[in-house]
Amino acid sequence: MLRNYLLTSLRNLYKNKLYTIVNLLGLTIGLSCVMLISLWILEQYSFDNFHPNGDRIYRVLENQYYSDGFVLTTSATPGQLAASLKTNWPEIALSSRVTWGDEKLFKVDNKVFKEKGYHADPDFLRIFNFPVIAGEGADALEEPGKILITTKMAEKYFGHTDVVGQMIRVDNEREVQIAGVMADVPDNTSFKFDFLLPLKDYEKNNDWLKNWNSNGIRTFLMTTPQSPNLNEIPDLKEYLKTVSDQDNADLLFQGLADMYLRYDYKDGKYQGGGRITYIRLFAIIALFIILIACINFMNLSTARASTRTKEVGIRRVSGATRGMLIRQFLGESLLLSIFAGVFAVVLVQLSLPAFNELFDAHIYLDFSKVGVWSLLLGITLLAGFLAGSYPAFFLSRFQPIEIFNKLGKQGKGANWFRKGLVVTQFAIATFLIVGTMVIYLQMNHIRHQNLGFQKENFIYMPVNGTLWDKYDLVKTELTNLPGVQSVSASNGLIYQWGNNTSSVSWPGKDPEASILFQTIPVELDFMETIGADLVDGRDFSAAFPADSTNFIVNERAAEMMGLQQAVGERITVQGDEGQIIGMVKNFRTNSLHVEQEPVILMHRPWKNFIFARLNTDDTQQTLGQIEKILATHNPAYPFEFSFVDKEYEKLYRTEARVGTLSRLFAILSIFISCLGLFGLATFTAQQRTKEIGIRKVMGASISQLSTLLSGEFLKLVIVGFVIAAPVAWLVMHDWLERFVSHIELSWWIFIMAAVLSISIALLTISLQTIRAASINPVKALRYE
Amino acid sequence: MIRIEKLKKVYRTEDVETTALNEVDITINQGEFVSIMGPSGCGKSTLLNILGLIDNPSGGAYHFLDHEVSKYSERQRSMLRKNNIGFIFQSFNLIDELTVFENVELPLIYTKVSSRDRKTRVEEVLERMNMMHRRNHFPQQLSGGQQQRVAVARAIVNNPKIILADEPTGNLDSANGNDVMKTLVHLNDEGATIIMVTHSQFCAEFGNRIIRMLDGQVVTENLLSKAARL
Repeated sequence: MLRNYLLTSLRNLYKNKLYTIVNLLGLTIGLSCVMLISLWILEQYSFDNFHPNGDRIYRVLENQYYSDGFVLTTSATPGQLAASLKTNWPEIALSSRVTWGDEKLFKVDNKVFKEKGYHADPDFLRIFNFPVIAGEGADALEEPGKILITTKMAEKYFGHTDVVGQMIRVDNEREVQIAGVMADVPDNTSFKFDFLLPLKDYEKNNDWLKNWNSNGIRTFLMTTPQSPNLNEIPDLKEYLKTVSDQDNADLLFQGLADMYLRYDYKDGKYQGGGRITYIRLFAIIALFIILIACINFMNLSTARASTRTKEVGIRRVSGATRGMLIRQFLGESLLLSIFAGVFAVVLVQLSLPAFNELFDAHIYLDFSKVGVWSLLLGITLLAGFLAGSYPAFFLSRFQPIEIFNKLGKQGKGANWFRKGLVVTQFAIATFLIVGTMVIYLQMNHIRHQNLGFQKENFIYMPVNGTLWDKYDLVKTELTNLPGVQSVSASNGLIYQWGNNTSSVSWPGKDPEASILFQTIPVELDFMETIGADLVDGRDFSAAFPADSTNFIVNERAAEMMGLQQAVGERITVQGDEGQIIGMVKNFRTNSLHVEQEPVILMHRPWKNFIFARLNTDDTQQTLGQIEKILATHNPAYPFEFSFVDKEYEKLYRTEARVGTLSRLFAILSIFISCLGLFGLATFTAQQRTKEIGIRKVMGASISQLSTLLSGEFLKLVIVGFVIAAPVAWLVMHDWLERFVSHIELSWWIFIMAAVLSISIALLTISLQTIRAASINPVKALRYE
Repeated sequence: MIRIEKLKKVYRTEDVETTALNEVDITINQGEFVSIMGPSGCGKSTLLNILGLIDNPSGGAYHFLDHEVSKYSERQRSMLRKNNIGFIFQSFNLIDELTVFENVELPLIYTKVSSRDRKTRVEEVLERMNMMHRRNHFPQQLSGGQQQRVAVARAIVNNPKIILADEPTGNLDSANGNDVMKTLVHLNDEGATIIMVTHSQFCAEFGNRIIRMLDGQVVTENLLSKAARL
C-alpha cells in the first residue's frame, strides 16, 4: 500500500509541476527560516548552561535608589562584597570578583599580541566550569605573578600547549609565569577570555576596591546545595546597608541562567525583557513564515480538490477507508515536506556563514549529533503534518456517491476557510511590512539624531604603554598634522562614560536630594574635539590654573540642580570644591534607549582614550601619520583606533540586526504569500475558463474581466491589511517606546504598507488574470 | 442474492425535492445478467449506486447477500463492497497517475492481499483481458477500449460475486463495445452476477433479463433466452 501511495504522490507531484514548485519553494524557504531560527534559539538557550552547579550560581546586582525616583540597577559592586558575603553568610559557599574584560599586551620572543581576559579570584574557577588541562587551577589565582592561559593562546605564542612554567611578558612591564593551561572557552559563554590573572594583581593599582562605597567590579556567588534562593533571604538583600554607607542601595541576585537572556531592569525590577525578547520575536516570526508556507499548501490542495475527487472516488469504491485516504494525503504532504526539508538543509548550510556574521552567532549543523537530526526532521515533519492535515481531512471526506454524481463540489465552508487562510497570510505579511518600515525609519532617525557632538571624522585611540606620560608631546605632534583639527583625552568613551556619583552638592541643594550625575574627567580642548557647543561660559583652559578644580556642566545637570545661572556657582563633587566655568549643550553620553543624563565635566588627567577630530579628505594618509607618531612614542604597542560613528552604530547593533532580519523575513513572507496567491490565481483562472468565455461572448472587455478576477483576491489582501494594521500599530508603538527619542507612527506608514502589499499582490495575479481574460471565447467554451 | 423492496431515494435541495426511485421492488439471483434500461433521469444510475452500496436508500429494504444493508454506515458498506462488488464505469475511472498494473492492483491493496499474491492475480487477469503487454503503461497511453478492459480487469481481480457496470460501452466504438460485452458475458458464464445499466438495446440483450425503468419506477421486466445474447 505504501508503495502505491508513494507512486501516486510522486506522479502527482511530477504531473502538477507548477503547484509542486510553488509548494516546494514556499516550504523550502519557510523550513530554512525555521531551521535557522531554531538553531539560533537553541544556541541562545545553551549560553552558560554547561556549568554543573549552574542553578546555584548567581551574579550580584545592586539597586541604587535616588531622590528623583531614578533606580539604577547595576552589576558593578564594591570590591569588598564578594569576600564579605562568603565569610558572613553560610548559604554562600564560593564567591569571586571578576573584572569587566581586560585587554592586555602579551609578548613572547618577538610575538606581540593583544588578548582579552579577566582578573578573577580563585573561586572563579571553582564556581564556573572552565577546565584546566595542565598545571595549577584555581590556586594559580591566589597570588600575583601567575597567569592561566587557554590552549589557543598557548599555541599562538609557543606553538604548543606544554607551556606550564614558562614566562610571558604582560603590558611590556612585567613577566608572569604560566601556572596552568585551560581548555578554550566555548562559544556559548558570557565569559569570553584567553587568560585569567589573579585579582590581587588588579588590586595593586585599584585602591578603590578596598572602599565599600565604590562600585566597580562584578561579584559572582555559588550557594551551598541546601541554600534557598538568595533573593528569598531578606537580610541578605539589605546587607550593603549594614556594611557600607550605601544606605540607598540593596542587593539583588540574578541566577546564572538569566544572566545572558534576561538582563532588563527598570525601577529595580526585572521587566521581562533582555535577549529573551528577541528570541520570542524570532520564534514568532519563524512560526509566521512556516504558517504562510503551510497555508500555501493547504490552499492549493483544497482549491484543487476537484482534480483529485475522481481518484478519491475510485479508491473508496475499491475499498479504501477514510483513514486510509487521510494517511495517503498526509503521506503526500509529508513527502513534499521531506523534499523541502532536504533543500532547506542545503540552504541553511549555505546561509549559515552569513547568518553567523549577521547575528554574531556560532551556529553550525553538526550532523554527528542526534539532536540536530531530530530537530531538522522534527521541523520538517511538523510542517508536513501542519500543511497536510486539513487537505487530508478535506479531501478524504468526499463520499464516492458525491464524486460519481459530480456533487463533489466544495461547499461554502471550504471556500471561506481558504479565504481566511489568504487573509491570514497577507495580515502577517502586512504586519511584517509595517514592522520593517518602522524599524528602518527609527534606525534612520537614530543615525541622523542630533547627538550634541559631531560623531563623523572623529577617532579615538586607547591610552596604553607610555602614552599616558607622553600625552602632551603626542598631542602637540598630532595637532601639528594638517589633517588633524584638535586633540583631547578622557577616561571614558564618548558613548559610554563609566563614572557616576551622587556625591554632588550645590547652592540651595535639598539635603535629602540624591541625584546620580555622570562625571567625565577630560583634557583640554575637549569641547572642540568632540564638537559640543558651549551655551554659556568657557572651556577648560591652560591659561587658568584653577581650572584643575573647576567644572563644566551640561544643561541637564544645571536643570537638575535648579540653577538659573549655573556658570559662576561653586559646587562640590566627590569632596572637591570648584566653580562651574561653563555650561555645555546636552550631548548624548549613552544610547538613545536611556534618558539624557546630567553630566559634570572636570579637568583631570585621567586619560584612557585620546580623541582626535580629523579635518581631511585623505583619512588614510592622516591615519598613517598618526600611526607613525604613536609608534615613535609608544613602540611596544600596536596602533589601534576606532571611528566614533562606527562604534556608535554598535550601540544599536541589536536593533540593526533585528531591522535587517525583519526586512529579510518580511520579504520572504511576502514572497511565499505571493507564491501561494500566484498558484491560486492560476487555478481560479483555469476553473473559470467557461465563465470567462460566456462573459466575453456577452461583451465583457479584458479590463473588466481582469478587474473581476483580481477583485476577489484584492479584497482578501485588503481585509488582511485591516486586521494587521491595528496589531502592527500596537506592537510597534510599544517597541518605539523603548527609545527616548523616537519617530511618530504616522498614518502614511500604514498607507504605504497597504499600497505596497496591494501592488505586490496585484502584480502577482495580474499575469494570470490578464492571460485568462484574453483567452479566445470560442476556445474557452470548447474547453468546457 | 439481491432483494430490494419498496426502495425509495429522494434527493432534497433547499427548495426542491426530487424522487429518483419510487418504491422499487427487484430480486436478482446469483448468476443472472440483468440489464437495466430507461431514459436519462429515470433513476437507473441511482439504483445502480444503491445496489453497489455506494449510496443509501431513503426508504424501503435492501437485502444484499442476506444482510439488510439499507441502514448501513459508509464503513460497513465499504467492507461489504470491497469484498463482493466490482465496478465498471462508462468513463473507465482509472487513476491517471497509476500504471495499468497498479490500477488493477488497487482493490487487492485495500483488501490486504499479500504483494506476491497481488502480482499473480493481477497478471492473471491482465492476461485474461489481453492487456499484459500494456501492464506498465499509463491510462492516457491507451485507447478507450483498452482502458475499459483495464477497468474490467480491476473490477474482477478480487473475484467479486457481483459486477456492476454503468454504461460500460458508452464511451467506446462498436467494435470495442462488442469486445467488452463479450467479456461480460464470459464472466457471467463463469458464475459472476452482472447488473448493467445501459441505453443501448443491443448491449442490453447480452443479458438474460432486461428491467425497464421510467420516472423512478420499474415498468417492465423481460426474460431473454440464452440464444438471444449470442
